[in-house]
Amino acid sequence: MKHYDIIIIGTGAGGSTLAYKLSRTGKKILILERGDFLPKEVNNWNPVKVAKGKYRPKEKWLDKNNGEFSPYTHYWIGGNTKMYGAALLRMRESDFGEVKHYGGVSPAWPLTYDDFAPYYQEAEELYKVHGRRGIDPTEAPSSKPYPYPPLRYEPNMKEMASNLKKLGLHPTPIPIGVSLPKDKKRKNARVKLSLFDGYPDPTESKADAHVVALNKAIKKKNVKLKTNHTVQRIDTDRTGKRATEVVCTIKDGKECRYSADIIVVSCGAINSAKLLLQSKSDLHPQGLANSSGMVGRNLMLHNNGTVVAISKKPNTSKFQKAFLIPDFYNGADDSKLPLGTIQLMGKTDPVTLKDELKQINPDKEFDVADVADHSIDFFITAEDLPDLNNRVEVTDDGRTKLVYNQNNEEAYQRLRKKLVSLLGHIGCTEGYCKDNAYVGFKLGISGVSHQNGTCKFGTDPKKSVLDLDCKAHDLDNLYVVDGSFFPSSSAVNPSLTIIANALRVGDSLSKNIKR
Amino acid sequence: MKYDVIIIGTGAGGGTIAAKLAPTGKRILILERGDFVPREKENWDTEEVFIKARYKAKEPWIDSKGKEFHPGIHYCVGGNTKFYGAALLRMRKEDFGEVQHKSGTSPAWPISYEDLKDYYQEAEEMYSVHGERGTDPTEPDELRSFPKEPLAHEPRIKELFDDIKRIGLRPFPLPIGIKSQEHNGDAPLVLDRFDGFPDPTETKADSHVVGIKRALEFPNVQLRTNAKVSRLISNPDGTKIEKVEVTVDGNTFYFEAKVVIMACGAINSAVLLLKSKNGRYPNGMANGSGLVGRNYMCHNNTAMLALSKKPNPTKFGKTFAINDFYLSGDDEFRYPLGHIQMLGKSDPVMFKSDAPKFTPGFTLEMMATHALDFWMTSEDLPDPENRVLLTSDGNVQLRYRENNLEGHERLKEKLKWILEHVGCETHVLPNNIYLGKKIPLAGTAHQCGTARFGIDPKNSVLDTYCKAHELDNLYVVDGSFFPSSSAVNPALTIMAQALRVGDHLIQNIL
Repeated sequence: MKHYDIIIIGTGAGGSTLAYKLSRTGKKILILERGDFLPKEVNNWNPVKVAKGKYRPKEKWLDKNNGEFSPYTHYWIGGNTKMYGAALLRMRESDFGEVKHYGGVSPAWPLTYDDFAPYYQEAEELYKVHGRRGIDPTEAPSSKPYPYPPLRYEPNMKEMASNLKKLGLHPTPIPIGVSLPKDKKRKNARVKLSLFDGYPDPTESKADAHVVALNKAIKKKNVKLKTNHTVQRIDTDRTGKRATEVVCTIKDGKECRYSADIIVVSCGAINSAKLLLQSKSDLHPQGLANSSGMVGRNLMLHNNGTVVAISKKPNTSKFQKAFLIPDFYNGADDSKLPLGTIQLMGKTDPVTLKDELKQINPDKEFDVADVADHSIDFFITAEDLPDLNNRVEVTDDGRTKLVYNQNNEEAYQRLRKKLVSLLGHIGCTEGYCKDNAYVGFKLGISGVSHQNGTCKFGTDPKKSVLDLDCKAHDLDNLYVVDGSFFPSSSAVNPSLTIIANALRVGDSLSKNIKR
Repeated sequence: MKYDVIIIGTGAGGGTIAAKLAPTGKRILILERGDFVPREKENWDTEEVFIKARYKAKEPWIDSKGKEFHPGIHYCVGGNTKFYGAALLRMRKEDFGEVQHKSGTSPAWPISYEDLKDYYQEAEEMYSVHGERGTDPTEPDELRSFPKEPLAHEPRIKELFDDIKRIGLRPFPLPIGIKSQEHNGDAPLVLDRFDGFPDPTETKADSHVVGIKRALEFPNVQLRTNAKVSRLISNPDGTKIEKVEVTVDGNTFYFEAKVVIMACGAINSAVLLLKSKNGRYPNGMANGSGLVGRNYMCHNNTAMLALSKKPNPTKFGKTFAINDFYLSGDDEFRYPLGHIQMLGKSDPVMFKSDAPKFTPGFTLEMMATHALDFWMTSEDLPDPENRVLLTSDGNVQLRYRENNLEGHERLKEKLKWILEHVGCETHVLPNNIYLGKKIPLAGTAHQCGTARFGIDPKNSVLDTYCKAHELDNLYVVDGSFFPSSSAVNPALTIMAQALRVGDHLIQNIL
């Protein structure tokens, strides 16, 4: 069995970023990824094939009623960041404290914003975030500007932003992680972004974890990457205090094992919990690192949904992911408690749009392409609150089951109403479809892209899985570095916080290793 | 502004020589009439690229009868290589000598294969050519291997390759220029859009990616895009180019350089010379011989589609070629026929315009899933009456009459014969169906010959280092210099000669 100093399981936002950080220690690192490289090919830009799940796993998960569903998740080098929209926002300062919501209380984090601030900056630099500070009234303080200026709004996005500004709102460029030729001095071919969130990027301009982090890590001699290695179990020594080896299956079902001094689980909040649960042993009967019973619990997914406004005017924007509306993050004129974030998103794919149009008017034949030409697509996010009963379970036959009841929905509904009330100001009241100014839907259980909370971090080993360095309380050398550690979900996309945290943990691990 | 070198054009010739000269530290200005091809999703959209001609020049030319047509030409950084199939073959040793064809003689070149050999190797290294020596039955001698291993055949293509071998022919890996994966962190590229498409991943080795981009890493190199050269201005004696007149957004600028290198492509280089006529050169700059624009060649090219009963799920079919008939047909016809190569995979959108009438019972989708795609090239011979002209109102006129067609027709018959013997019969259709499409006048991809090089200033425009006989500082390094066209894709020979001229400039001139 081959021995390494460190094994990292998973190559998404957490795993790849940590690998990048640790690669510079010179330690022997093995990175295990269940997926493979996502090929650069024509279908990367095929909205129908992508919408129908060309790049998603065949795997079906179970919901609370044991109904099967296809999770919106991706097993590739780079993990879910390969398909993400690279909207890289810091959590608000208030998110680190306790916040009262319509549906209950969002608990405080055991660390403050100041603990994360320098790592947020480092994360923004690593992921080449384009944005502008000082517009969003809810943004957390920072000492430095974004590394790159915001992407320019296309004409009708600009017009919309200015209309919203007239209402006293603060449309703010979405901080986007992307590497563009214009960022460099040298003259080069332009990259025209269009299909972006939900699509892989064959030009590798999108700053995903593969391109900006993993790729740099594996250029180092001390780092080894193995793809198509699915980790099934982590074993411990006889004391149960040290994780010693990982057991993987490879393509033809063969088993292989690797050992390491430090083992890091970065499989995404759901699969990390699953891996720990299925690593149960006599010493860890409830699952590895689960003396608290918290592994898999407090699963949060956000209250996410889309609103596709149909405008009278054609929407000519190629890259619609222009701005966010932060004004309702902490509440609104008619809402005392926090609502969430509204942001523009990429164009809804034709398959989904067709389904939605069918739902609002089953009898009418819509020209989907024409509707798409007039649509303006929004993504809204409200916080969901940690609930012990919202959890990841592993069934007896080893399948993933998500027991999840949406909470704090009132915030989502109020936020949605707010957005709908704004549509009139951006040319979408008497919509293109006459009766309906908008369509859209709330993401269901399959929308797991913002998954977090399943191994929360804290100071009390009875109430949390991880300590403040994201090391399992129960073991000396087992870490979890992805969205699992979140004690609350805030209402911004979680990736930048996962990345910043990976850099933070990487820092502390690097120091420990040197010692 | 004064430069050491001005390079006009960024295609196979210009992009290559720019990269060659850049490390000298000389002040180099590159002028390109087009812009960068943006990297966007339309790059891989067959409808946009082939049907809507999104990236083609919007410039109408006229044919011999005065009728307008739209040339298949691209004005952009990288020139036509941005859209080429990167099939990078050396000319045969025989092509440098005189070759007897059925309908005439292909003249000898003033240099031999040996003169170009090292530069071919250098070009293959630069363009990262994947191939295998010793497999092409007519290849010229070379002991050094290709820089990269040949690309693997996909299963259906491998089957076809083996079947063709079995009937006694010698198919061989087609040399393809593509940057290989640099380390194990690179995601694989599936080459399912290649011939005719720009590559947003910048993996295809075109002269933008491997030429201009590398040149621009040097601080002494400057590129101006959307800068169309309208005229070359010589001194009164006509011994050197003094100024290059450039139009940018309707404004005129003048640049000066010790050395001016034209690389606008064979047609546009001739056009620019003709446009630059003056008192000393009433028939066009450097045109004392009267040969500028003449002897235009573009190959006898045919794209052919064979519908096989077996489905062809291939993504990238362009992995072998057949040269068994390059030098001679058969006992009945002992003249050269030409070269056969596979093409990238066709897709149904490409057939939209003209296919259905040929294919009762075959849907476009079925055609695409069953098609095997071939490209055939036969030599066309230089004819002074095949020429690029400027009309009185400044339009480009292309006069071209096909010649040497019999070899090409026989090559098509050979391919049909091959296909019939390798299981391409189909029981769905009454007969085998081959959709052969001779590339019309607008197919200017293989343009060459319009300023041929030679020893004698009376019957050539350029000397053997592609310097205009009559001027001391004017060079032309695109396909213009070809005295004959051979029957392989001209790109590698243009690149090799650009490297050779570049070397000469570095050693002796700059």
